[in-house]
Amino acid sequence: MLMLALLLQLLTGGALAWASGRLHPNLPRWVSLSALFFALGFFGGTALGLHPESFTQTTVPDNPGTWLMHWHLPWIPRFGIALELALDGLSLILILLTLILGIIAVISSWNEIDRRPGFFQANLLWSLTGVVGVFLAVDLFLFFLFWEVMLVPMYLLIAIWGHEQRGYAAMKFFIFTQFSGLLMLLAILALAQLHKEQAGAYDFSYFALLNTVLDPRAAWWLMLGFFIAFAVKLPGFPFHTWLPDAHTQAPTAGSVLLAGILLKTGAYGLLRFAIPLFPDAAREFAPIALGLGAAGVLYGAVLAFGQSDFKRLVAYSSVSHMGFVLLGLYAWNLIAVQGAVMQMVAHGLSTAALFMTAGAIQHRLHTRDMGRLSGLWQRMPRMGACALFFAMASLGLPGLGNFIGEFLVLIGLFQTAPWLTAVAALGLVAAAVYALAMMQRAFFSTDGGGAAGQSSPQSAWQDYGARELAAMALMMAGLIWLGVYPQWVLSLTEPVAAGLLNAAEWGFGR
Amino acid sequence: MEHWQGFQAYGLSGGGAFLIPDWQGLLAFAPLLALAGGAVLLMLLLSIRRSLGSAYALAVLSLLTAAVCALLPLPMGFDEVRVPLLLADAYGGFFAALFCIAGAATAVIAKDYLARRAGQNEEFFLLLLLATLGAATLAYATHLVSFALGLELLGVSLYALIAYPERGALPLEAAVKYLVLSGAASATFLFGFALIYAATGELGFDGIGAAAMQLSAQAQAGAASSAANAAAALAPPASSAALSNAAGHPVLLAGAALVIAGLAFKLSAVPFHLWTPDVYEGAPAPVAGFLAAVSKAAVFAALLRWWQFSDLYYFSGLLAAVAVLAAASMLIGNWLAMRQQNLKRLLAYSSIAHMGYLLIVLAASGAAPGGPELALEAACYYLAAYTAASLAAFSLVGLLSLEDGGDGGALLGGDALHGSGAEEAGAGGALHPSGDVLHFGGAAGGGNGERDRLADVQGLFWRRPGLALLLTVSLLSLAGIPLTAGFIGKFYLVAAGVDAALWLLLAALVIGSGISIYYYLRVIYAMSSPIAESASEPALESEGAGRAADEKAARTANAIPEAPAPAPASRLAYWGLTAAVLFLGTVPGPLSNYLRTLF
Repeated sequence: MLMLALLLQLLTGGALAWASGRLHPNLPRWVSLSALFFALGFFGGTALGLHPESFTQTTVPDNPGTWLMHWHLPWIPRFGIALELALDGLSLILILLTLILGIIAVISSWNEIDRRPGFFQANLLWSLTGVVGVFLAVDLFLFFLFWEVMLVPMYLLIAIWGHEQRGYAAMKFFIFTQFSGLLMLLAILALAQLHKEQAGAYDFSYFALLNTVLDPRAAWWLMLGFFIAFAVKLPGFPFHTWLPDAHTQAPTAGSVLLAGILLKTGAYGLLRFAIPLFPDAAREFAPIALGLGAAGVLYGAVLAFGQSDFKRLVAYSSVSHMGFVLLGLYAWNLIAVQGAVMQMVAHGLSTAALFMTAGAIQHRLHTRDMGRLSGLWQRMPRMGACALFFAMASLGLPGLGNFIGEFLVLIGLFQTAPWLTAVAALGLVAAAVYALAMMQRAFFSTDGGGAAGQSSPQSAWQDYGARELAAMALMMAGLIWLGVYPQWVLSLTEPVAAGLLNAAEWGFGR
Repeated sequence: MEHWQGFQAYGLSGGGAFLIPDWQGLLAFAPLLALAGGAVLLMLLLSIRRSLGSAYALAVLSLLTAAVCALLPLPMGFDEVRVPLLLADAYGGFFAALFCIAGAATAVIAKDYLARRAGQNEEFFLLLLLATLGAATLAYATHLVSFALGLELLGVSLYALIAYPERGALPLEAAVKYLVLSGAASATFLFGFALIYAATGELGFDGIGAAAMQLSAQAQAGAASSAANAAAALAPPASSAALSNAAGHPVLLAGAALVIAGLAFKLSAVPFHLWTPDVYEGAPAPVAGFLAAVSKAAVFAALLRWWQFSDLYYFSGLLAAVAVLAAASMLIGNWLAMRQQNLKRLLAYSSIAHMGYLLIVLAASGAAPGGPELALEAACYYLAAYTAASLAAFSLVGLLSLEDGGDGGALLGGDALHGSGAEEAGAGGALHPSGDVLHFGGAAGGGNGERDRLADVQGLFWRRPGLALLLTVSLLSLAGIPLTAGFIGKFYLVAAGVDAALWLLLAALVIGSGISIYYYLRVIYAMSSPIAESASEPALESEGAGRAADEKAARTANAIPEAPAPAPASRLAYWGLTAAVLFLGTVPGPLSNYLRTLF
């Protein structure tokens, strides 16, 4: 019930925010912020109050795993579809990340949205509802439903409040995800059909489908259907082309949500569904997936270096970082999988902060072109210092969360594919190059012309205020905490990862 | 003398008999009686006193009565009632109720239009009743005669309904186009009926099936014995198990193919779709909605019953033909929809694609190993979802013409074609100048005066949020996005396709749906984009100035009183249709459980 309550809180929070926009244009952001804080307190208070021992308790019949909570209500009996939600350590961490980044998103768009603020906040909260639903649903139909439903508000966020080319970017984002989603729907239905032929009735429950015995050829195709959907969202290397457009054109809050959370749904899907449901096919596919991951790491990094648009640079750096996640997942051993989860959380925080920086620059100076920015450090030292911190996080400075993630992924990967590890490690070098180049071009250089500086009035050069500093400090604290005490995340996810690994034994690298 | 349940037979002295239905028989066909009775009463009423209000009330009353009667057998729990031409069972009752409710919604929506039109409008409701009667007949038809009767009753009423704004050029063109091509289609399927009769000597659906089985069994036996030496390995043994994928009697097959071609015209499946966009564009919006939703659903319901009762899915040639129709409709319909600037044409092409999705059912019902039940349920659910969503979409597009006090008056009459009035020039016209100029250019050139271009919905979210929200829901349902009825319908279809392992058709469905997202979203994007931007890509101003202009325009737009607000009844219809779409999308349990009991 806690899980359902959480979803309903976000849903009604969105409706309230919309309604409050009629009263006063500044009200929605307060409503939205308090709804998120309430949800975070409610969820965090309950979930973190659980004992660590309870993390291995069995609450799901037939699936002695690591579930903390389970809730089940029949919905469409014709197809054996149920409203089935379950929470484990992995979804717990990702939901906490979602709620925190939701707060960041509201703060980052505090002054940016001057048109229809009520509807904006409603869409923001509704897309968060969809994401939380994705992390909780363990009925595949319900999962697909949330997967698709979170697109619509996100589409509207980009299409209505985005930048210059919002129409194109929003359309591309939606079509990519929807088309790959249809492939996944086909795969889900085919899997349910095969299960029906064995068990006699339709059932879309994750726990039932896990036991389906599959013919290798069928498993391969079904796995591919899932993989493509998740790889598009992740985004994996050849499917990433929607990302730079969507992230660049989205309003700041949209970019924060997209990069911080929506990408994680793809990784989550791979970890929860694509690999455990089809372990043998996934093992066969692993070399290809690892290759795509390594290609993504390098390709994203190289393209990030080539960008002149601040947001586009950060967007491509996401492609590179999510390549590490793909590598970690398909290395499929405990260290690498935990590294991938760590990378997801750390990347969520660091990239959200960088997008917030980009949004702040855009809001003040009306440009994101680094050729027109220069010497920001002198005029806005606090913003510069924050940006430097997150650039360091992004390049994997030891002591911060991203380092832990990438390091664990590389260690785990080395056991399976040493040569690929060497290639992927180059990504760390490239990350240093683009992150430092970004700092240099935007904040330090004085020869860039500073065109934006001359054309902007003095009042535009406003350094971070308390609101923005608080958001930045929150994310900094998170990254430092992840960097110096990663054990919290590791021990939360260990039973989950171990359970998945046991269920889908690959027989190498452990 | 045969005995029919629900009828009392009275012998005549000459040796014949006449049948008097008892209460059960009366009740079973009460929907048809209510519709026919309503039509007769309406005619009588019009000859005594012409009044739009009473004609409207009578029409809605008899449509709703018919809908209730169609669902009555359900709680009373009696079996089907069968007469030679018709079969009143739960399947027929479901569709009859669906068509009557959709007809009632059309009547309510059309009243707003008729109220603004000069001249005599009462016959509109008479025609609507007759068209719905035709659709309901199709729902109950189990005989080629009643099939033809229903098709013609529906078709003839629709010619007149399409041409109802008789002074506009586009409606007239649309009606003539529909008349001529529909006549050709009628000739095609009537000839097909004749060939089927020639081959089997039967006109009832059941009889055709039995006779067809016999014919193909004989043909196979003959083929097997004559070719026993040469191709013993190739010729299948003439057992009943081998009847699947039977070659069939050539005359029978030719007849069935002609009938399917004629019906494909009515369903506007590719390649028989060419009339669709022109007719939908020209027809008044509520009629276009009725045409897209009810007329197609009725033809499909009858086709599906014929297909089932006559076991036509045994013939691989017919299956292949249907599969080709389905794939072509999905791909070409969606592809062409992408290129449309006119909303009604866009919806017309999208309805072509939807018929393509539905035709999967025909192929799946034959190929599924677990029996055709899932496919049939899928067809029912999909048709219910499609009817609600497309009726809503068309009528909301029609409602656009009422906004801003613009050229709505021109909608049905054409008299006020240029009478857009000072208000339009003052406020509405200023909102999207280029769009309006283009639009009036088109209208003056002989259009039907509806505001149905993509440019007309620009910024609708900010001008009329309610209308935009409803249109968004219906478009999302047509696109098959979750939480709407269209998604559950599509889910059913995909499940049926997976059950029958029709991978190629499913691939076409996925590709088609992927394309369709683009054009549905284009409409939603246009609605959500700021008002100042016109569709013709104005010179890019700086961001800040653009935003300021948007705000100003939005304020101006908000200042416009929503002058000709739709009547409360039609508001109820719009919200009701949307609520139905959302309900079927979020709580599919009741309907899916009910459908389960049908087959």
